[in-house]
Amino acid sequence: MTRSSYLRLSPKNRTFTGFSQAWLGSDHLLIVNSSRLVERYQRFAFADIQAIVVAEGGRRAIWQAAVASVCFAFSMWVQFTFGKRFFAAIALAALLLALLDIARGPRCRCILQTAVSGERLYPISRMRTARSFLAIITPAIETVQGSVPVEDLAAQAAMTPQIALAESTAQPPAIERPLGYTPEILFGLLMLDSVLVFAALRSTFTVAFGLLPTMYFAEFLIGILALVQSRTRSATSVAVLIAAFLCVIIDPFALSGAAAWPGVVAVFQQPSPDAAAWNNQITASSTTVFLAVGWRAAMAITGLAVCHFERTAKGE
Amino acid sequence: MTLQGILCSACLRPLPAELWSGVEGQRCPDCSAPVLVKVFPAFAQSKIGSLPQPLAADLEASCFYHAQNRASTPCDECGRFLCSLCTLEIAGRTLCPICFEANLRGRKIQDLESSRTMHDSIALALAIFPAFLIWPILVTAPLTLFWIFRHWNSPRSILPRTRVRFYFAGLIALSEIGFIVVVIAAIFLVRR
Repeated sequence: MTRSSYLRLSPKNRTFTGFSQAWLGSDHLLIVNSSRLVERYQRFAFADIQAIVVAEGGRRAIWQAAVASVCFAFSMWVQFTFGKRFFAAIALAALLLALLDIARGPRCRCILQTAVSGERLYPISRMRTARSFLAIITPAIETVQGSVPVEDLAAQAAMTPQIALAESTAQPPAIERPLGYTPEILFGLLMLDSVLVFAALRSTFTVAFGLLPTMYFAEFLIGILALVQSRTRSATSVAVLIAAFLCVIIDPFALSGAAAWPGVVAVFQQPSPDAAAWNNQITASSTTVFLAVGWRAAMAITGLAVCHFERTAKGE
Repeated sequence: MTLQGILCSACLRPLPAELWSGVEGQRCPDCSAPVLVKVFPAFAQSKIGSLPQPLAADLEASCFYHAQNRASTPCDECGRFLCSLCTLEIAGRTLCPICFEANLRGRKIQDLESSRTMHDSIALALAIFPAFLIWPILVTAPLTLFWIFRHWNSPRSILPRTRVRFYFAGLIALSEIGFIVVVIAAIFLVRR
């Protein structure tokens, strides 16, 4: 075995990719972050540790129990055997996790404070661990730093000159995050979809049934992504994005979807839908086709132009 | 960066001095989370580092790297005189920046190491995971054995750790090689 001067302070806090653990050294606290194949070490000298703050965190057992309940409900509702067993297994796993979570005690968030940093100690994730951790590390730190009553510490800290950054002090330049390309992807997709929706509404139910749902899904997904990432965008870009997203939501219910859907439903409602029924032409009015194609093309051109001008203004 | 006061670990807002007692059951006034705070004397000490002293007379020893500064201590490794600006206290030794760099590169001081590769875990992964696809063991089984021999004496974790992963990896790799030999022999015999 490797000779080591370290004593274990906490159990392993495991994640999907590795674990982290706290160890007690002769004059420092060692935090090990392991990715299984490589271990990374962080050391905090006892002389530098100013404070350790532990805050009790939220409980996840409620969410795990909720997931278990939903899965149990699904397992009752689903008709086929595989589905019943699948949802029952998930519900059981969620229930076991909830019980395990309760048994391990309340969670916590521990921060170790030095003069220049506040470091989150991930291995200290439960109150029980935090108590035993503090019980061992406090005497070790006090051996190096000595022990002073808290009232005296507060009074001394108030008198000690602090190196604080005045508001007038020159600050380092702010790092601006580059603009993402998700809005451009959305508007490019809308341009492409304007051609596809024209093809779908001027062809058979088979083509429309294959094409339209895929289009709607892609537009919705990228629209959500673009809206989520739009915080760094200008107000004009955000306004165009919101308008485009509203059109994406309305279109399947009012324009292209409304034109194609009744025909598809009629084909499904036939006792034995044959190939001929699927090959029927969609009877969408010219106005519907014009509007479904038009809003996509208009939004795409406007959006791409706005994005281009925004990038030019930012000098990207 | 200088932190102002003791911060709540849940909301990162300053905690009043009344909560520094280290007693459980108190709540952060901002987020109401139950907090347990331990404050140590380092918090009250001055955060200003000591500045190097300028030379007062020509006869005084000066820093090797800063001729205008008075030397305060020699480097434990190279013996050069250092001012307080150049002094680095590492693992009970006083080093100059050049010797510190040399130690860092040569991994001479364990307390300076920030990462280590776990060769035993790599060997074990190399022995186990390719076996799921069967054919890669033709390459990975001998490679595992090579890895074990190559890194048998390489520095392992700085924490307590045995060589058990190396033993398991070697055992699995030998079994895989045995399996390959049996399969090849079987094919050879069947063809004859």
